[in-house]
Amino acid sequence: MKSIKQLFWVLVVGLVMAPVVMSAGTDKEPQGRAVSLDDKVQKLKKEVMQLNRDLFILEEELLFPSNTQVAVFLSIDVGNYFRLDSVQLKVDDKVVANHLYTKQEADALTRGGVQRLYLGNIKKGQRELVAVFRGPGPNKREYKRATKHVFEKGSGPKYIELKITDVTRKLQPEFVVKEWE
Amino acid sequence: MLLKKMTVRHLLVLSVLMLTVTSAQAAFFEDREIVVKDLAFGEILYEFYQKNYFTATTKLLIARELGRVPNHKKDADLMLGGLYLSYGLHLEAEAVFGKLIADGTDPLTQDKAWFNLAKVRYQKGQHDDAIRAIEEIGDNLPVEQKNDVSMMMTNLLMQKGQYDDAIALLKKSLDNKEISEFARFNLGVALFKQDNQIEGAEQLDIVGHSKSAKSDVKALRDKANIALGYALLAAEDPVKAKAYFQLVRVNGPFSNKALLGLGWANAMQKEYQKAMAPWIELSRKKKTESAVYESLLAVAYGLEQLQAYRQSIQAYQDAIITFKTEEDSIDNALAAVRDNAMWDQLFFVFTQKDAQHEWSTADLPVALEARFLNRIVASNEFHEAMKNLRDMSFLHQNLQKWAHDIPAYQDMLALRKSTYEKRLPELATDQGVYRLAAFRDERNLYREEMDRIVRDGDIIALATDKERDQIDRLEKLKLKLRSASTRMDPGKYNQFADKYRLYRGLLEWDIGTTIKTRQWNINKSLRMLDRELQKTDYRQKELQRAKYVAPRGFEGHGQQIDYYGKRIEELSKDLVSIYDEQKEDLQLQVVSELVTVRNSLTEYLDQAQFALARLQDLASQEKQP
Repeated sequence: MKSIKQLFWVLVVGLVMAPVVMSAGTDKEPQGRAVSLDDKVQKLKKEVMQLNRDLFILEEELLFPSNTQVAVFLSIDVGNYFRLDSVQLKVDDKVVANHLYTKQEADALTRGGVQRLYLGNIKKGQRELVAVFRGPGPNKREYKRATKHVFEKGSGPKYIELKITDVTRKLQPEFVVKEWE
Repeated sequence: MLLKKMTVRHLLVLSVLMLTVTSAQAAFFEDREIVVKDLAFGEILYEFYQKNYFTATTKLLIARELGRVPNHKKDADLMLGGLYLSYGLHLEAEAVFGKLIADGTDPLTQDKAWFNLAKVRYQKGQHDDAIRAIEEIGDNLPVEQKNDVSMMMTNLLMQKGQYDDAIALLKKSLDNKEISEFARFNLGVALFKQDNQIEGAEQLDIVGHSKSAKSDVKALRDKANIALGYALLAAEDPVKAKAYFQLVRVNGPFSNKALLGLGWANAMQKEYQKAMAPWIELSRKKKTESAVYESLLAVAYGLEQLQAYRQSIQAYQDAIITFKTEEDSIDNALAAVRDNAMWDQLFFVFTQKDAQHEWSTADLPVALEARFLNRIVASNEFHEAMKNLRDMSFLHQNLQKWAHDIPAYQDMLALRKSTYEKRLPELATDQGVYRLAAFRDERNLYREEMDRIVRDGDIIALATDKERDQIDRLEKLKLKLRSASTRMDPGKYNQFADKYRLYRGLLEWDIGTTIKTRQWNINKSLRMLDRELQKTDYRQKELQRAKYVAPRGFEGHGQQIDYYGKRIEELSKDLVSIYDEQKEDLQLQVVSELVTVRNSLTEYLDQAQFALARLQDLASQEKQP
């Protein structure tokens, strides 16, 4: 049996040799098993993701048929004059959505993300949408603004975007409503 | 043992780790502003930026399937490829990136697609294919990704043993401030691998003296100094070796190795008293790595060299107790590895966390004695296995949610169907069609009458009710006047007849002068009627359509729900089975690591027992007269 000193020196001498030795052995055998299992895991994950997609599509068809579907989206362009804390959405004077924003959500909006604030069913006809935005406005003062929009709900789905933009000229935020085709 | 950990292969891991910095997010979206042209894409970005990758992937798949991102097809594909990669779906990612390239998109997108393809192939160990993909990359990538490409290429070349090419490439990277330290470190490693120890040591020496305040460079600096220190020990130059060991940070991850090496450097100079200080300090540390175990033997060895035999015997005896205790701990951990419930609970907890969570030993249950698992927990295989288990656990929970919802959808559909069937007779669409036809006939009569009025110049027909009443009254007066004409005074008669003509004339004047307005109003009313009839006609047709389509819709949705219900069941079973297989694979990895550590402990134990026996033997020989 090697002495402790001998054991150590075997290891020390191996320092320079070790890269060569170690690079030759790249754990081939365990990888072989892992690859096969990895293929199975990949296939399964893909199938579950596809099923998840199909189920969401089915759910939307069942719960929000296109002839009654109304979706309201919210986006922020720049956002220097207003930091969104919360929003309340009313359709025909009935509250349909309330949302308090986390930092992550507000950041995602500022970076260009668009939030689907509401997805619901509304009958055909003329409807009134009111959105109330709250949060620190210019000069960090508490700011509350409402915006109203009248829209005609037809037989197809209706997509409405609430957009908060900066009006540099007025140093104020602006709340714009846009209907999408 | 110690020096095996200092091999170039492990040093190379550092470069590989640099690549992982470029995650799915950086694949496309970090380096440019995106103007959202499709709401659905903005919605995906909203989830993506919050790192809700599963939701982002689902929404992206839905949007692509339903054609909701016509203006962001390319962005959507790049994002999907990146997300597939982050979910370990290499085949899918490769297909998406390959299609982007085949479709001939803009140069930046092409470069990003090639870059991601190279990464996929590199991760899969397809080195030649990865190199081919890198060679296709142009000059359009952002700086961070260009650095990743450069490091990936050198790693690939070194793994293929093409050190000359790797060294040439690494030398070019030395001017790149962002990666110069890493490039220099790898250059040192490559030179060592090429048996050019002198130049290799020079490069590592520069890294070892780096003044950078960056934590990753500090770690690199320690690593370089450790490598040089042990290389110099191997070259029997303990004085220089000591200098390098002394540069290693006391609180850094390599401090234990430095202490051990420092002790050996002193021992090599026969300065055993000096060697004892770092070894004793190391032996009192938490037993987390082999250097600490080795220090137990080193202390006993040092005492023996100092001829403190009694203390040396005691040190060996203490070391033997420690090794045996540690062996028992490993045996307990080996028993705990097989506890499936413990793993299931662990993955369930982690499905609630960020999908990109980086595993560390602190995440593992106490029963697993994670301190023995540092090496494996840092390995790619372990991370992949943990990630797969976490993903599968998450997907299983997701399927269970759908499984719970499916009966509700079946009930909802059944209710809709029964409501439809109840209302169907009330709709009486056939009757509605007849009524609509009658309305349309009536409208046609109005139109014909209007045409006749215009053609005949029948302005009286356009009189208002009040005017018509006045006309009727005038006509009655006229009749009375005629019947009384023979009995009346002719002068009086003429006077009344003039009045009649005057009033009649006035009425006709009023109507005649406003005839255009009256005709316009009537035509307008007819047009409105036409529009209403058209709307009614459309609704009738929709109802007719619904009458035939609805049952098919109920049937189609019913079949879909049934099919998806079965699919959920099948995939849930597959998930459970492959989850178990993956768990078993992970358990084997852990077992294998624990057994390796145990074998090392057994070797230390053998060494200690052998040395102790030898010393006791010597002691007993001395006692003998």
